[in-house]
Amino acid sequence: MGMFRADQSPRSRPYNRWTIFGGRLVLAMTLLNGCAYTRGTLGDEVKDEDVAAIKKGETTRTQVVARLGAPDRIAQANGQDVFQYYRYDVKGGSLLLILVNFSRLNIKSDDLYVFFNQKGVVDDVVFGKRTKQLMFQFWPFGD
Amino acid sequence: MPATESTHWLATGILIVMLSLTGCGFINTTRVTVNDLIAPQDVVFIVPGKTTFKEIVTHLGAPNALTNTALGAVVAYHFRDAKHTRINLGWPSQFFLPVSPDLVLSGGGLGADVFQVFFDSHWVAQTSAFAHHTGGPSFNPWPF
Repeated sequence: MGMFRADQSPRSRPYNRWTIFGGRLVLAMTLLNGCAYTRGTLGDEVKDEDVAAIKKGETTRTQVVARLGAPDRIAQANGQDVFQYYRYDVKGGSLLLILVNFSRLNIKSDDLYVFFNQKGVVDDVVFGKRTKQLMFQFWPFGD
Repeated sequence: MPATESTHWLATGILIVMLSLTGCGFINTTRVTVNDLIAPQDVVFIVPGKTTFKEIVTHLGAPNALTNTALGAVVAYHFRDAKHTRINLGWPSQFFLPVSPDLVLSGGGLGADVFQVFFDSHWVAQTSAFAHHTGGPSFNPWPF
């Protein structure tokens, strides 16, 4: 352990520091084989301004379809027609080392529900945008 | 599309993604998560006969599926956690053998969970439940 003695000469310290740095760099370059980012989406993004334009008691079914397009699903619930628009967003990261590869893929969805009354006028709007919190992650362990 | 159909579609997609993410190193670990986990303590605010659809959406966000039954609407929240590990025991042989035979052990699981809320005709929650499963997935490559 003489190399790290406190009484070593000042000239030799930078050399040792650079040696350690170089060693770490070579080690990282040897172990780090590559990394990858992956992104994918399913469906069109539902914009906040489009959702804001839908007014309860005013907007008709025709106007909703004209603005957002045909719904991805149509359901009936408690005597109401419900249009559902959804979008999935996928963010993946891979850390490729020589011996070990880590990959993690996170998927979240945005869901918009438009409820219509018997006259075909909007009765309620429910919108959840989970993809805002979607992250690229490599580490598969933990939360 | 019924909730069960969308669930199968999502589960199939996750399995395809997991297999396509599997690399060619010595050890590969892959994890796929869909939406945020909903724990039992997150839904204690739901009181049957009192809590409304609006209140549930305020706490949990928009559901992933909505279906109708004879007694009222049912909404479902889907969340998934899939883990997969693969070890190729033949991989190190490339350093001292002319050929490197594959000896792969791999295993994983798909933790599929659904939380459903059943409403009456006035959008008041009548009951809610998690789907029952045998346990969450783990990073265990031992397939036997």
